[in-house]
Amino acid sequence: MTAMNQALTLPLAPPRLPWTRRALTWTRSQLFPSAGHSLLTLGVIALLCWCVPAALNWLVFDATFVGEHARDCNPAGACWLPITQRWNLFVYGFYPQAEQWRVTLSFVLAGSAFGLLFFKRLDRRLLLAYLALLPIVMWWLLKGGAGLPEVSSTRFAGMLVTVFLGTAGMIFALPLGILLALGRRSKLPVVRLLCVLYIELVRSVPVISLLFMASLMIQLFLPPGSAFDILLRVQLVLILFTAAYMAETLRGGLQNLPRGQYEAAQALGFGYWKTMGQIILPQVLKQSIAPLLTQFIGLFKETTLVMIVGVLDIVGIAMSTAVTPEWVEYGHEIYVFLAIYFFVICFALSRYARHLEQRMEQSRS
Amino acid sequence: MSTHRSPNLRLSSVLQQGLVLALVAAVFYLLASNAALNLKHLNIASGFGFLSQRAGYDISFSLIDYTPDATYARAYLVGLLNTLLVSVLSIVLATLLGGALGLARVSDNWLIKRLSGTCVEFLRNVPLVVHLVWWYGLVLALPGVKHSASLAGVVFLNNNGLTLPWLEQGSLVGWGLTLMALGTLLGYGFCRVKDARAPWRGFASRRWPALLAGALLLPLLVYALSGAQVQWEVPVQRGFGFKGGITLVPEMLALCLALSFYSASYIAEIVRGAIESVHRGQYEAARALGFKSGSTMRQLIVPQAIYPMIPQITNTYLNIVKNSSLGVVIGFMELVSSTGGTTLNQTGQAIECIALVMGTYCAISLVISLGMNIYNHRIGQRGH
Repeated sequence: MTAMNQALTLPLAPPRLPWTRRALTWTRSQLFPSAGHSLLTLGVIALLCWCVPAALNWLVFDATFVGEHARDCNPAGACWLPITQRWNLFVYGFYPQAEQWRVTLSFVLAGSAFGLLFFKRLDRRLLLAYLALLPIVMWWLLKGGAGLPEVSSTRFAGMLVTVFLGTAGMIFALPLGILLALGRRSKLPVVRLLCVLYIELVRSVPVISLLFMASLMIQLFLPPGSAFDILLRVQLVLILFTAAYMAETLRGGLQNLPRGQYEAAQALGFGYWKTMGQIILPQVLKQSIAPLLTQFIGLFKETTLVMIVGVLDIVGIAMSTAVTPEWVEYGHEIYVFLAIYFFVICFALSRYARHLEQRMEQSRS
Repeated sequence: MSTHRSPNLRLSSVLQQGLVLALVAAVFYLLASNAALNLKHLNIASGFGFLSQRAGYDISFSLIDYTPDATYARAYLVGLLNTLLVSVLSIVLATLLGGALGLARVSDNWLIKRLSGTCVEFLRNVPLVVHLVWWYGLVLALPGVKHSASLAGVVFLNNNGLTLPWLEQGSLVGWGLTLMALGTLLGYGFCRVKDARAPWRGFASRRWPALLAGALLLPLLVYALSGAQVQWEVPVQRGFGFKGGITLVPEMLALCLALSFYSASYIAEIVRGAIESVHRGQYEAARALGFKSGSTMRQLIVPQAIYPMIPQITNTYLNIVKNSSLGVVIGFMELVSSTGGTTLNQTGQAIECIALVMGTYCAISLVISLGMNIYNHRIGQRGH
């Protein structure tokens, strides 16, 4: 039908104009469609002409990138020295210099997990195995032991904390989120009620109150004398709260799956777990890759909250840099850098998620 | 999915549920017994009795009278009011900003569309904490009291915050707001009665004139009848501060701005999605009827787009309320930093304080989602 329409309309299409004419038409229709719009366009262009060069001058052209002390800075532009001078601290925290390759390696491993999602024909068991092993390998690399020199987790700070909390949080939350999503749609009323209660309770309180719980309350509920790392406690809370949000994402996927899939599985005599594990979940997870990635972006942004309970992530490092006597005047630069850092990562990931989603839609239709 | 269930299956389902319940109960019992043991070790008496003790810490911004001599319960109330105030201000600002950004994203003007798209992408991909510390830095970098920017000599902005004129009797503001809410309700009731009396007209009368009239007339009427003397207090600069008026502290300004800009990006995306979901044929029909592009938007597209966006917008509002807890980062005394922070640290009543904070947020969420469910239900009945 569409092919026939195209065949009918093609000969009627107007002849292709020279590019100057096309540019003129485009400008007129897109920038100056009416008197009001023309005024608006001119106003915006004037505003951009005024502030873009000023911003670029401050950010790049008049800025100081090389130097050692605050007195090397050009007062007319931004001073990026607090970041370049402390770059190591921002990325690796207080990690020992000689062992920093371990952190770099774990960054590469975490990054390649996203790369693996790109390959459509990759065996999904391989992908799942990679994801399942990733946090364990990362923890082993970072913490040491079993062949590697041990590093105390009090030395973890900066990007290293952000990346570890984000990756491990997402991966451990996935099985829990799946169970909660299934539980919410379960036929057993008790299970359903418990899952609904958990999900709604976690979703209705702020993350910060949960983090306070991790830092002040979890100790009280453990057997006396046993204490564990604040980093792991915070990680636990991030996992528990991400799982609740993930359950809602996956529930959407479960609801969207055609009923026929359940009925077909039943007709084949599959039991509950076999139906879910072999028929339903593979489809739901595949379709939920993009929403899950979006959720990862959310989690990545939420990990910045851990600095409230005293875990020094990159925001914590930045804030402590901004109050050191030498760099106290350059707070704006430090926060602009933070904003750019998060923007680059989150924007790239959200574009990637959108790309995967579009590809999925194309292959479906 | 099966309609027929054998007794065997039913037994197994009962067993499974019993097992799950027993497991959950066991975990709870374990946690509770540990907690009891630990509390005994730490010599902390559980219970909410501490709420009536003297708080002893100061709160820089409070809507009600508060001194360090007040009780922890009063501090909790101040925190709750601050949370609500910041949330309401941010919700209003975020809605205005987000609506404007969202409409700009579907504009016919390429430049506006792209510019707003860039803004939205930037705002939403930066964590709220970064927004917050950035705004806080900016607000603190404002000129000092001596050089404060002023608007018509009554509103002052400086690094001590934003100073506004305020009523001399602060408590009257609360009464005024209550009366306004009551008046709005009365106006709404009036509309309902009017519609019920004239069902033959087939359409509901306009609501907003009656609501506005109710909101304005009732407080004025009560004011005129009661004979109370209300006077505006204009702030006057005295030394390093202002005398009179009300000062919104820098922490609060930063929190409001950060929350509004961050949430505005989400609202903009919701608005854009809803407007784009309106069928293309509606635009064509409007053009065929001779509507101009502005009035097409105003009279046809936006009214149709509003209903699908209500659940999502409510969700964003809920997030604003929850995210206002970030005030703790810059030391603004809202619910989490007053009760969950200082009170907890002073009394050591971790379980009670956190339960109080979480319970309050749960209650707020519950009220908002309940309201939305009722609204959704009514919309569903009306057939939109």
